[in-house]
Amino acid sequence: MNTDDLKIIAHLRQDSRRNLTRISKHTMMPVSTIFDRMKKYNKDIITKSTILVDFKKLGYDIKVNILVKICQEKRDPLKNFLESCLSVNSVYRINNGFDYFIEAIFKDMMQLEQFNDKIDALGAELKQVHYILEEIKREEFISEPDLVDMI
Amino acid sequence: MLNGKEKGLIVALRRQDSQNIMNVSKTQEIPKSTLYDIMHKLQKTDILRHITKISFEKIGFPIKIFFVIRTEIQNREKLKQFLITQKNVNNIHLVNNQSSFHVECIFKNQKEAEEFLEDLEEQTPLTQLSVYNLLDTIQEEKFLTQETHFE
Repeated sequence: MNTDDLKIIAHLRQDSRRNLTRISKHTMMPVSTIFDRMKKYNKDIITKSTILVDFKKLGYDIKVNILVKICQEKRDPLKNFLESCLSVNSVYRINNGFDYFIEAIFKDMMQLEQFNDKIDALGAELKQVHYILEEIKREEFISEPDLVDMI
Repeated sequence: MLNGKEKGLIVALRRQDSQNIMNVSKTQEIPKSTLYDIMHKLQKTDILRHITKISFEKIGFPIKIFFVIRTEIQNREKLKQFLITQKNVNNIHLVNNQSSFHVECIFKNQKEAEEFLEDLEEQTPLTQLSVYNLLDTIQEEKFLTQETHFE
């Protein structure tokens, strides 16, 4: 991965719908080269093009990060529940005293309480619920084409 | 509140933002011009942002760490400013838990992560620093990728 690749990726990170002409102007690379490289990234590097949504503005007032510790034999049922639960946005496996990091979104406290109860019922040994008050930075790593030289 | 067409567009773009608007128009049975109008309206009000998610591991950044960082309230702003300027920081959230920040960082190697930690501890006196390695991504950005999520 050279600096040119990182610049293209930074453009796509910043705006997945950015047109090739604009990327070409900024990177001084021909549109055809960018097109070819993007095809390669789509096969290999890009995992998802999506939109980040301000859930609060859509009426989902409660966003939480939850850390859960659960014993090994109960991990799969919890994982299955998390994958099927409509309120769960992202889930990661983590270490250092906890097993799962969950990002979930709810319309109200009642929905969150029901979700918490379900996690407890599935056998969580330890759980920390953190309410997100402010989103300060979101998906900003390699998202500034002018700064990729610093990385 | 969102109308049916707006919800349809959000779901389609949350699933795959790179798809042609023509496809969205066909699947959602909404005229192309209406979709563009909705998209511009939602962008103007900062409800949505188009982004590309990538495998950082595949471009040479295999270390993904989630930090819970807590400081005294009088140091919160200083810590926030420090975190905002760090190149390795992907996400920052302020959470309710006594001036805590949840921070996701991406690093080339463990040495880079150690240097980040040293800088962090030099900057501001911390009352808590918990470090969790993200071992596996189970799901990401799944909320509002199905119409049923709005129910």
